Amino acid sequence: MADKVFVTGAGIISALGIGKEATLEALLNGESGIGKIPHIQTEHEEFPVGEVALSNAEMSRMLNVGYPIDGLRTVLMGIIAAKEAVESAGLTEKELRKAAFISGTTVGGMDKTERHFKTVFDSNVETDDSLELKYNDCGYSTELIADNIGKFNLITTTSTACSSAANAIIFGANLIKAGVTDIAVVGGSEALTKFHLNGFNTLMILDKKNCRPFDKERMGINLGEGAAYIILESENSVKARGASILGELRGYANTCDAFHQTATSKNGEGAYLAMRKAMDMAHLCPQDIDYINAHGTGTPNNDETELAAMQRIWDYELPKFSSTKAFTGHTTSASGSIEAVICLLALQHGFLPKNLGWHNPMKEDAIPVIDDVDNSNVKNIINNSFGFGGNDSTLIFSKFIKENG
Amino acid sequence: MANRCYINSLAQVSCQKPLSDEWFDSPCLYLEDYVRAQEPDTKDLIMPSESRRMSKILKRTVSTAITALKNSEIKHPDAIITGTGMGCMENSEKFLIDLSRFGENCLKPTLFMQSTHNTISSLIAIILKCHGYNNTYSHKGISFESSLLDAWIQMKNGMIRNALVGAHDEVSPFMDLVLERTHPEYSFVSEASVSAVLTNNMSSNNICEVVEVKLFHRPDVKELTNLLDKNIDNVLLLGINGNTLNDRPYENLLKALSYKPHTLQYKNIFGENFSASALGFYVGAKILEKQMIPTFLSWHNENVYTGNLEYVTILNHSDNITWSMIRLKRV
Repeated sequence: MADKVFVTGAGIISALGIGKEATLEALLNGESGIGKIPHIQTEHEEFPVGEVALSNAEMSRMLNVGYPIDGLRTVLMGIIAAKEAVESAGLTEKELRKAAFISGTTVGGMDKTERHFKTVFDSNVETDDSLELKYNDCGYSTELIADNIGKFNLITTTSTACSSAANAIIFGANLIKAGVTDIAVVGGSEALTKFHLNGFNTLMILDKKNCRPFDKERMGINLGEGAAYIILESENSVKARGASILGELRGYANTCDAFHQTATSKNGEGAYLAMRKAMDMAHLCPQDIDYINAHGTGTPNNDETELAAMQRIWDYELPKFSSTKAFTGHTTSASGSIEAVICLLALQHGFLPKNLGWHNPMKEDAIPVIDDVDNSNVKNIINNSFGFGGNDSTLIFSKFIKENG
Repeated sequence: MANRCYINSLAQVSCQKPLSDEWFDSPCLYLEDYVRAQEPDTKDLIMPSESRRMSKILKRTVSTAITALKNSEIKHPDAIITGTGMGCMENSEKFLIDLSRFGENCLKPTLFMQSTHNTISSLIAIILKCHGYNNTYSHKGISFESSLLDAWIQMKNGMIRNALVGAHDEVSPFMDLVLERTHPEYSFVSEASVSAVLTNNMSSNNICEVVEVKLFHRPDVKELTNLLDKNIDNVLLLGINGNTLNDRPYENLLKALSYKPHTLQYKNIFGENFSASALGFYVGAKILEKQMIPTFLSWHNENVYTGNLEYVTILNHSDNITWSMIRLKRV
């Protein structure tokens, strides 16, 4: 069983911009990508969101793709992010032929479906609009992204709501450890849709102001969208290719809160177990963790229970922590990989992303990162992703330090 | 990868008699192009107060999961892993209908809460109070095999000792009409809910062993023929459905083989949907358990199979883009 899994490439698109450089700049400058809704057609303009600035037409032109991809935002963003990841790792066509592609999404082609659904439903499926519903399922979007990146040996799709991308990363790592593949392109993509904007609104967990994770006065989520992929690679493959290492995926865990479909248990059992088990796998103790990139959605429920879970482990000596959702919005299924890329940037460039919008502590001693601090020796980062149904996953990224000789 | 992976118990809900093996001796035969699943009797499995709030797919899932666990030696599986092509589609459909009829201001939260794909896997965890690994795969016709592969590699590597693995898909009358247009390769459409308890523990109650699980993306015929061994893969259980668009890739594979295996089908009695291959897995396991091949499963064979029933190899493709191979072995 291969022991180590390294990260050798990364790509990202979100409300912060296209690519790692734009993302890094926005994070360092504290510039949020959240604003008014320009793209999706909705009556609910009162909710700020983190949309990718480019329209479908602009992304299609940029990628030189046509029907049906031009109408599938999850796919368009996915291709942009996966391309950057594959190029930054320097993977060749031949290497991709043997690689796995695991993508997380829940929305899939729902944006296309919701545009055509009424016509199809009212016409009893006689209309050609019904053909557009073919792209609704999650697997289709993964296939279309894969086809635009490389040949791949194995592809599949995880769908666990807001932890989908984290679970794609975990499955990819397990495939490498089991020797099924040496290289896995893993992550997720999710477009904002009228469907889930309205869905979250029925649950009354959207904030009409910019979201304020871990603030006493927090009121809920700002939804976002985007895609991010990272390249996971076995030690043998890294050596054989002479690839440069961005970090090590040193530990991970997937657990279930097993409490409620959309609420979290009071003591954050699932979150607690996910962080604990991931540290066990990484052979790290709580004191070794330098920073937590929290799930931190900004809902009263999530932040309270995530903090409770953290305090069960660290008591009153919490590591530095922040939620980057006030930068990107909650990018739902893509959030696990978008925030993984943010963590890798933090490891590489020695900074910790700030928790924008924060003013008042929920509890004493629970103050997230709000100022610039010297963090050049950050070594181990926890990245949390929690989904509906209590699907909780934790990833631990560690700085790779070349051994002497 | 020293550990083994056995199927300890199985349960199904489909257009055949639910939670039963009656189909093996006397299958229900349908002339229609589309038949819904026969609903299971849930009164001993789900509390009525809970059952009332569940959609069809959730009731079927809980029924197969609880039944499979009851018949197994495992009460709290280390992992719950689910495949579903469309997820809780009927709730998504209702939410979309409300959205298009009544606009964006009087929608029901329950429909949204129970519309995601992972509602299924997490509901089982909530009922069983299982805090272990919980994952959901949604990748067209290989959603089930993706879940199985996840469980299989974790079990082989000693990361888990056992798992509840399944696949569940519902097809509403409206979705059936849509599938007719969007999936011309389909024929007889029905619904599927299958739960399997897998264990690394050798026991006389095990049904069979899962010795190989492989997924392929756009494989060459050669890649697939190289997989198959004439000494092992004598009995092939194929995702044949009687529609040339679907069946041709299987025929091409058989033509390219250097030997002539005995070929079986299952979609003729269970129908087609994104989770159909889970029923193939179920059928393959039952053949090995009962050491008998029902005649109605035979496809294009000149003779009745008289060889050893040591292995059943299940081959499935989704749009001829993704392929899967599962090799089951008698215990």
